[in-house]
Amino acid sequence: MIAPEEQDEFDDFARGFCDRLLRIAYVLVGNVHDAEDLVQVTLLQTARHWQAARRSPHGYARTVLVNASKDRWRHRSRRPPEDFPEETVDAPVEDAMVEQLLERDAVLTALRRLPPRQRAVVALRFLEDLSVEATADVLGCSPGTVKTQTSRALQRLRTDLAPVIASSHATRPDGSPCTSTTRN
Amino acid sequence: MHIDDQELITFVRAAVEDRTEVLRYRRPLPRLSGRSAARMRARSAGVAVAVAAASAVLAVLTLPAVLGSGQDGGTGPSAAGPSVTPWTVSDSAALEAALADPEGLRVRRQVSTSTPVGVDPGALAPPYPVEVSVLARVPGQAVRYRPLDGFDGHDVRGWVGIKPTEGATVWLEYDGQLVMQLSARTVLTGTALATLLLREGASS
Repeated sequence: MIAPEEQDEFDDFARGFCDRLLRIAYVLVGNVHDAEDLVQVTLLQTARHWQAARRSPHGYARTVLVNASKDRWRHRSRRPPEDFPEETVDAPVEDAMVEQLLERDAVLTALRRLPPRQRAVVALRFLEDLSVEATADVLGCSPGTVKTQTSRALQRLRTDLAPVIASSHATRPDGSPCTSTTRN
Repeated sequence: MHIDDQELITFVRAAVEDRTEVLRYRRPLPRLSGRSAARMRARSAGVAVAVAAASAVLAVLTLPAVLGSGQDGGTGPSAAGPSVTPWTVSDSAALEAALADPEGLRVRRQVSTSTPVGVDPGALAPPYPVEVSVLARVPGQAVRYRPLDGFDGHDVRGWVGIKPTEGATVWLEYDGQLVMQLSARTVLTGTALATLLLREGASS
């Protein structure tokens, strides 16, 4: 039997972290349908192994998520592409925001062009704020590999996004990059 | 124009967070599995006797888990051949039993319509309950999925459904003769079901 407090503990974790997991998954796979699949599998696995996961549930879930996405990368190269169109998240749009939305889409497109491992490094280090060591733990590789992948990812993003960032500077009088948004 | 790392990271982070902040996970959250939790506790205690006893109890509980659901017509696409009564498997032991004897499953399809004692379908951990049917051939809309080849040590080739209308369905072909169709309502897509089945097979 599951103790009620144990179920509550899992529920609190899952409710509090599922949206964050979905955003990481979205960066990893690039569409909402697959991202939700990944999060569903991640939560099921975390629930199934809750006794082991509860010591560090966020780290456990991140590892399961990345491993599940690795499985997907491997399998995707061997089967026909799924017929989900490339998509963007539906967000409320106002005229004044169009330019900024185009910038955002350019960033997501640039992320999609990164090799899967580099995409995962960017998601974990710069969106989840994990250290090099913690990222290496999640990815199951050495810190040196994380540093190398980080450097390559940033170089590629710099190349792909240079025109967008330059345009962003040009349209903002103070030359600042896009304003940051609230984090969970 | 030089862009330093920190500026680039800030730009990327702001863009991603701005574009994903509307995302909300909409699927139901899973429930903890009592079976798994009990197994983990037994393992962490390191008491081999307790593990053996738990396994014996589990075996007794799962013996009747391969059963007929009584739903004539099956869940498979009619284009795949004659429909059959789906059976419901409720755990990895029952799944293994079904995988090991697809011909027997086909022959026995009319036998049982009872519900196994002590099994509450609502309390099962996904992907269970899994409905199992035996078809004549792989349906045309199925998509080849090589990770399922040799699933659980059996001589099978795998396919999945990838369109939302197909639900969570995988197909396993035995020697080009028989096709086992596995469907689950606790999972939404064939690839997700395949992933769970593969993990279940790996952990059992």
